[in-house]
Amino acid sequence: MDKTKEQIEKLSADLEHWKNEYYRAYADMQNLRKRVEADHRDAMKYRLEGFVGDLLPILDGFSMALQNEPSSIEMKNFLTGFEYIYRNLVTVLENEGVKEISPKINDKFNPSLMQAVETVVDEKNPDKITKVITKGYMLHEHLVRPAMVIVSVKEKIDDKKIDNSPEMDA
Amino acid sequence: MAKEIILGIDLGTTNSVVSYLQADGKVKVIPNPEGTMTTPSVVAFKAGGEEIVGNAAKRQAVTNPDTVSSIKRKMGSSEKVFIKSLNKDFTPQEISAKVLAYMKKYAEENLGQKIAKAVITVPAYFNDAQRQATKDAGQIAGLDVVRIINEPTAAALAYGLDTNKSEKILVYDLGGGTFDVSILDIGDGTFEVVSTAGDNKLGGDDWDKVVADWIRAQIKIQHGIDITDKMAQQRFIDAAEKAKIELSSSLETTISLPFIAMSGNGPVNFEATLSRAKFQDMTKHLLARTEEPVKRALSDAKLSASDLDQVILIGGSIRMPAVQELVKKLTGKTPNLSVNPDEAVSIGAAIQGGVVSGDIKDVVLLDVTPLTLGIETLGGMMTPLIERNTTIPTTKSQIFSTAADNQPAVDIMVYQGERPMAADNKLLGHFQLTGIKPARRGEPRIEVTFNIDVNGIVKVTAKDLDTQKEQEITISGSNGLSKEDIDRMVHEAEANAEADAKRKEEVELKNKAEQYINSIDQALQEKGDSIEASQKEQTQKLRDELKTALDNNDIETLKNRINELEQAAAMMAQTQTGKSAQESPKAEGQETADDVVDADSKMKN
Repeated sequence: MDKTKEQIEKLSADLEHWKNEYYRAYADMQNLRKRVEADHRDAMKYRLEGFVGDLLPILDGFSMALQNEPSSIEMKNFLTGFEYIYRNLVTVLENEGVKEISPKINDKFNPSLMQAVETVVDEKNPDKITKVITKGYMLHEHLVRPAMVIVSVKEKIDDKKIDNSPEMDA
Repeated sequence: MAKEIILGIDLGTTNSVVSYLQADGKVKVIPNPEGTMTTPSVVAFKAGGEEIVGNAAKRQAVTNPDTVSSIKRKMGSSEKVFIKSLNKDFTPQEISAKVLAYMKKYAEENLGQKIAKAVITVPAYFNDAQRQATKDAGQIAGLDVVRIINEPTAAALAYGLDTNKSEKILVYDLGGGTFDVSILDIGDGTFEVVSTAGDNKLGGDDWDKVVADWIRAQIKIQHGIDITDKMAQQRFIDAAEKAKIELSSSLETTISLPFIAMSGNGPVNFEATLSRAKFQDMTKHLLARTEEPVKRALSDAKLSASDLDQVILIGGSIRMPAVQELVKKLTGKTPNLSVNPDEAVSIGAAIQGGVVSGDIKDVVLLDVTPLTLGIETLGGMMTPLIERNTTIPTTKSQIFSTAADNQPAVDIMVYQGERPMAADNKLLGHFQLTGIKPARRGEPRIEVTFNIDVNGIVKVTAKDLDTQKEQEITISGSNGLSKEDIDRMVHEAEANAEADAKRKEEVELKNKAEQYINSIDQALQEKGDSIEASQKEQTQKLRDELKTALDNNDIETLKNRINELEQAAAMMAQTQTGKSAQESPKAEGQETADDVVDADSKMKN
């Protein structure tokens, strides 16, 4: 009799165990599916990220070309045409979710969108943009490339201090 | 409640990576909020008490002297970092903790749950104080560091090395700024680091610098101007890195830098090609610097290259072909490169996390069907029910019908294999479902179900949905095939793919012709009297032509006639649309309910 009881207990425990495993497998699958779906949405949303990154040097090229003030009328007309082409290109990218980061002089420096390439000392007005070297670009919420800027600082910063990499004796 | 997750963190000198083990036993690297898999190990402090970590901290570094990078080099020392804006000293572990806390936070946001535990990796040469400091950093960040493991060990774990096999492994780790070599002795489920060597001032960035200097020199030669401004330097470095990456897959790359400077003649534009050979030549002194540590590690371990069982390469810079060639030359082994070299260490840490939590043991290893299972249908075709590589246990049903009018029984022939014609595959078994009520071809609904249980036993059931009558067969010998047999069958399918596709097309065409002949016969028989004589004659002619072509196996004619027929039918349908939907006879295809996957498939008698 005891043996039967023992067996029932064992089987009940087994049953409980497998029931748990069964639900667990289902739950795992559902969670995994949600995750895969979310990943897939993200992958679709950011599928152009690499491509946009590759396009940036080209946009920069346009931007730099257009900054010039040509003396001849002919050259000026050429540049105007190029500017239209450039703007069309930017519009196409904007339609795909690309946003330009184009800070203004005297804007506050924001490291989540901008990269400081150089500094100039301005005691009274530190931490401001003094020059924009290249624009930055976002694709939806991802930063594809920060805007490259020159930033004002209170006092001259010793370059050596920044790379805090002393020798480590292993 | 969500299952507890133990993060795997590669806390690097320049960059860090965090990953975790998913429920299916696969490791996933968690991207940071900017969408990148690696996060710079940089922390910055501002006067207001604001702290910036990661990419943003790196970006503002030149503006802020209170920016700390490469803190890993100070771990375990008593040296403190003085943060001027806060007038406060920080220990290396406090700084590292900021990086860890940042990664913990974005991992939690990404996974949607709280995380309390982590496995963190350290270089194999770290001493006890350095390991303790790393553990403390985790604690400060709110993480219970369940294990500290060596980076090369983590890499070996990521490669899924069998820890019960006795092996000697060399791990070559060339990152952005540091180079490490370790020799591991694996066996009895343990990893022992036998020796380490390296150069902690050598990394991929050095290769970039060489190319950037070359660009600058080329501009000087081409245009006679020496460009030194910081922005241009940055563009050189960016272009150099891009060229380096491109030269890993191509033999030549073009470096193009329009408007790099202004001169008396307007803008200066630079363009040059750089070949892989030239690149390798100008960076060979850097590569040579990795040779000596490899030799030293081997001699310290009292091993020769031939004693090594495996060589693993990690760190982003090992993508350079010259690095792979060098390692091959030094060790005589073809290096293992199957895991992403930037992520391998973090992946290994996450796997260790899984071992600690017991999740790895829990991962149920499920089998897959080695070959496709299906039944023979009209024309000797194989209709697959369960495709190869489907994870089992699994069940799949499909509804079929009869091939001839008043067919009383169907033969269910179960086949295994990849070829489209059933006869080319392996017959596993067959049975008959009888007692089908007299009906036109295509009308009876017979549901065929394949069920493979966890032990790989296949049960095939056929059920007449009209009479509920069913018949089944159990096949347990379906896995009687050896690995060689399976490979052979898969290869045969690949080798015959073209011929098979043609044959399949022909059979499908013939099936279609037969079906049209049948429909025409049926229509003529039922509505023959109401059809105009001329039209009747024309239809009869078409039918006979089809029949002759079918009997003579004249595929070309069949194809043309069927095309004509379908075009004519489409035109008829267009002119009839709107007239009366009810009048039009029920087309075969319209019957397709959700579960009727292929209404055209008829079983042969």
